[in-house]
Amino acid sequence: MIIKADPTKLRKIPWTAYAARFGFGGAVTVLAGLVGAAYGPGVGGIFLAFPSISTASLTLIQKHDGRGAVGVDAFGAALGSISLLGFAAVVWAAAPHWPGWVTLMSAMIVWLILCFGLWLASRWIRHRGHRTRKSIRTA
Amino acid sequence: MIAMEPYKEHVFLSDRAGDGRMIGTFLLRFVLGGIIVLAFAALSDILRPKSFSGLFGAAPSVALATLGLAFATKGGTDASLDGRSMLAGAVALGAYSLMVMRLVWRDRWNALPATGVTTLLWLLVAFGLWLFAFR
Repeated sequence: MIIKADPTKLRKIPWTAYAARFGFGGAVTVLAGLVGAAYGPGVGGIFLAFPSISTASLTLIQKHDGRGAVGVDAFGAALGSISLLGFAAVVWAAAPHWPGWVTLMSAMIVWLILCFGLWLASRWIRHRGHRTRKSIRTA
Repeated sequence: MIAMEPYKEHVFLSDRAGDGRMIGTFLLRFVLGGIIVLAFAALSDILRPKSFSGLFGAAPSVALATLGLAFATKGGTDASLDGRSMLAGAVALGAYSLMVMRLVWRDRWNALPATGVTTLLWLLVAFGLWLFAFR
């Protein structure tokens, strides 16, 4: 299992894509604020899990890496949504009692741990499935 | 038809409706949200394998910007309510991602129409779940 970072990839992305992501992210955040201001934080909070990054990125991923990569990326986002449940649960439980920065930091740590854990678990399950199929074929 | 009560602290109904501070707050929201989404999307671009970088597609980008401001301006109780409703949004995000996966892999859709149509599913699941379980 190796996680790699290749910052040179950023140079291949056109500035229009950066502008679109910035604009889309900003617009969704403003929308969440407007809905929250109009109907209260209960309704506005729903938009905190709006698929802003996925929607802004998947078209670009298809252009650069093909349709297969879009599905893989969406699978990662599905796992990430479980981690997001952890983030939201920490905010829900801790926000009234802890300072804001402690709450957000704790929620981010929980999100990261869940991300790594779920990703490792998904790899293990996939690897185990391959091994089982292989042993059935050779038996 | 379910009618939603206007929020009592509605910024547009308040006496400060014309206040430049409101525009300033939304401008700050826009810039903060844009920067955080951009940062997580960039992380997703540079990291490999794709199944791992995809996790950043569900990063709490809008949440960090909004909750940071909620803590600063309204306090922990409102932020907590935001977090509670976010649970519904997160479940909907899972449904969204799985549906995009299916449309792209099985039904051979392109990313743009797949994400467009699936955003409607996100809205439906998020608001449906919120109405029945988190309201």
